Amino acid sequence: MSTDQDIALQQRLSRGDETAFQETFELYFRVLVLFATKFSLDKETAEDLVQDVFVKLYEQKDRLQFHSSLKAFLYQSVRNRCIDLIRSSKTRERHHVEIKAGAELEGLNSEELMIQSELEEKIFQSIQQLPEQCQLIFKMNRFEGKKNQEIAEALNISKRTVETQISKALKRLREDIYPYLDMIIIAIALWLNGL
Amino acid sequence: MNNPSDISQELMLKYLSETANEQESKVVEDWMAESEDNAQYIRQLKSLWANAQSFSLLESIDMDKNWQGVQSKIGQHRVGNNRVFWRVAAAVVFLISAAFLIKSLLYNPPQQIIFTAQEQTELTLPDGSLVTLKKGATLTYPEEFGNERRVQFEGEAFFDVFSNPEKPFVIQADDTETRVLGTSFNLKTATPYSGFELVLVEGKVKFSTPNEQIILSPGQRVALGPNGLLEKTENTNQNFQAWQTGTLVFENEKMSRVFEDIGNAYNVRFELQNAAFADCTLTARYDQENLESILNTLELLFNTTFNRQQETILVNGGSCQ
Repeated sequence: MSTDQDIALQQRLSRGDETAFQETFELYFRVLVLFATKFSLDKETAEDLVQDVFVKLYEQKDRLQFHSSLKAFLYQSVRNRCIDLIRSSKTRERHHVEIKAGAELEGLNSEELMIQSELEEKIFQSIQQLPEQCQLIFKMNRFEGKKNQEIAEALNISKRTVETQISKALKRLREDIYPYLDMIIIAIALWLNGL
Repeated sequence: MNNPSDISQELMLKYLSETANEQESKVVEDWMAESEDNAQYIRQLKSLWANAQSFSLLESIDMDKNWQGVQSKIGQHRVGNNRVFWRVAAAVVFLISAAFLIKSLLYNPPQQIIFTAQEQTELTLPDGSLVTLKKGATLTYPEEFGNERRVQFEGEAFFDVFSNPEKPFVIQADDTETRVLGTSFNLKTATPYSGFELVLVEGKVKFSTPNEQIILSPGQRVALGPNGLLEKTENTNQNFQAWQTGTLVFENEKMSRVFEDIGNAYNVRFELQNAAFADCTLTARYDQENLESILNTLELLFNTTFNRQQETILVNGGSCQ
């Protein structure tokens, strides 16, 4: 998600390049849905909302040069729609707690939520690239809450192998994520300055 | 310090998943205290551990389904401004007009011609009068004029009526009648967004509604007021004919008026999101420019953006220079 890649996509979009629109979708859809769920939306609502943002992008793609960047356009659109939705009376009841936090949401926190979303998505990408068994073990341990002994029995391997695989996964994540994290923090700083 | 062999993997995982007992935790914490590198290593793993929680959500997002969702929403939005749609619509309108025309040719001895302009069109009537019809305007006239030259009209057009004192030229439009000898004027019937208006350029015009009669001199304008009564004033809008001439001139003109004039010239309608922008002023001259390039210059001048939705253009932002 480098800025260069962003600029290139933006230029191709404004030329009406249809594959650029699909690439933007592949690149940003997931992370934007995640970002939207951080405003207390459920997954389906978030998906619907982000779909609408892509429709807007499609319709305004030749006018993108008026926004600071493609990424800023996408995140800002999602954020604004989330806040509108939270404010609207239909969801007010469900979100009365978040409404109080709404003032904060509007102010500073959306950048943090954005960094957080990007980090989580990067971790997701990284896990998806792990070897199959390693990925399976890591998921069972981390997301299914299974003990290492249980995993070992389920997969008919030794507990020691389970631990090695989980450590491998974490090591891989650490190598993937930390150089990237430095980079996105710089990118975010640039983005904020550009607003 | 990238591959710590002096701490067991089992211990580390227990610590991360918060299943380590006090004694085990202490071993990890002691190890962290040994060096900043160790401490950072554990902190980074901890944050990864915490941040991996969105994995199931991200994994459950069906990209294909959502892509189809976006495509179908784009499809729905497109129906309104799809070129193909408008071509088909234009063809349908043309066929209907043609059907009327054929019908009138076949069954109506006086042979009325109903002409609807698909584009801006210059028509020469049987008496030699010239009518420039704005896109969408409809003129109904006989193939040959009798004792008087009577036509029915809707939309906007510039009439240059061939002088013939013995045969008055009569235009029926909305509920009005414009009776002329030889003259030229701009005539616009009412639309949902603007009222009926006639601006006389030269000659003399007798203009009447069922209740009133007015005689106009060159440079004067008559409009149908909201109360249904005629209002005669001097014409101050030099852009009234811009749709035909392609020239728009603004001298210190308020943006509310600028958008009205541009809208009338290009068959669009502007909606200002920022009401204060209406009071900014513009001095400019546009000669045979297309709408896009005019909007581009306004965007640069006033830091505004335009968002076109069919015939309506939303004006976002906008501040005086």
